[in-house]
Amino acid sequence: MDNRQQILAELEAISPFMADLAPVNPYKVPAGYFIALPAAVMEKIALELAIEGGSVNLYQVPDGYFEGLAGDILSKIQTTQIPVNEVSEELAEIAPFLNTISKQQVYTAPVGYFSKTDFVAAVGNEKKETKIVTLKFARKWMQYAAAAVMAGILVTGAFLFTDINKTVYEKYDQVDVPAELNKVSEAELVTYLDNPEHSVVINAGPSIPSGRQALTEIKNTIQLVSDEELDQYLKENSDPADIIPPVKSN
Amino acid sequence: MHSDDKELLFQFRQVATKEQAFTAIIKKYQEKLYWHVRRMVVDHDDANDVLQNVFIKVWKGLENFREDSQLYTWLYRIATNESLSFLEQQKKRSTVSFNDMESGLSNKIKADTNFDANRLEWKLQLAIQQLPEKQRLVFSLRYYDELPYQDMSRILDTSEGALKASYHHAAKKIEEFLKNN
Repeated sequence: MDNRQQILAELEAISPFMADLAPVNPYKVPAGYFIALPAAVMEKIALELAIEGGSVNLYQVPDGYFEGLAGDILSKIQTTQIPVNEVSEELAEIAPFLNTISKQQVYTAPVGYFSKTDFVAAVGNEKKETKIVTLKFARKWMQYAAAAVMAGILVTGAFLFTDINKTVYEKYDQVDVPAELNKVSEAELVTYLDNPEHSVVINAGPSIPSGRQALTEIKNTIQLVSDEELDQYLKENSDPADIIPPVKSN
Repeated sequence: MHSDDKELLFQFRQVATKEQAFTAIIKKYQEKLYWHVRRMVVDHDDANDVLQNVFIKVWKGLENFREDSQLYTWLYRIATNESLSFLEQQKKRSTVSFNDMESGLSNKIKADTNFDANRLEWKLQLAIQQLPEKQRLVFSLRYYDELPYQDMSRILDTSEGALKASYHHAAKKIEEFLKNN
């Protein structure tokens, strides 16, 4: 007995009424449904797999979009950055030609210098290794000698200009100018002023000798001063440590 | 396992013939599975959705399918579970009671464009929808698909004795319904 006969016999035993009914399927499907179903299922599986794999992309981009994207971004960055550059704007006003020259770095650093160099550690080592260098005696002596000569020149110059001229100025200070002028007649004053040699240059400052002229004058003045006077001056105005032995004249 | 099913499974496991073999499996079992699902969910669009999900699950699981059982019982098992899951989701969405759900399925039958209240086969469908889900499944697999209890036992994971009892109860209830309506 096959399966169909078994089922009918079973149903006859349970319900003879049901056994007499033909197992008719009243439902219908759309025309061509089973023809199209395999393709529809395969399409859905493909979509499902794409979604699961994360490779599905419903959007599209123009052809070659990604090839030129990096260049487009860089050019956009450059065009937007140049006007903002304060230095370039300033240079455009000062020297526009310099703006046309590339600022590309012409120097090069050793390969891996910035990545390998530990600047913090280097600074630490530098601090540890710092040495105190003492000046040698001869070098120190020369410095002291040079300082003393310069000090001597300056002090002597000051001495001469103050002490020598002091007597002249003191003589003028003692003169009663208004009283002396009262003694001079108006005719004498007019005659004096008319003389071009006595004309007064208004707003003209005192004539200041140039550095070289001053130095020449100081040298000439020093020659007039004896060694004893210079030695005396240095003893009175200099620090004891700076005193150098007097130079013996031949 | 049928020799042609074995061959289809072998081809499915080859990359070059995978899709071709799966299309052949769909073509072979689509109608049986469709009607099984359709009798459970009634509406064609719902049956179509469920059936496509069935085949997607088959695609994913077929690689690991053990050949010690029949392919078609495995397919029926998936289709049954998908149908029951679909009905469960429908219940949750509509938040209606079991009785309301049954009447909802009856209304779907009556809404079918080919429905004819005077024809006995339509009355039989209305009678089947009055059954509890498990009895409905058993009756459908036995009465329409004419499956042996042994295979039904594998599909529904129920003993053959329990299945025979369910079928008996289902047939009696349907008879009573048809005689009274």
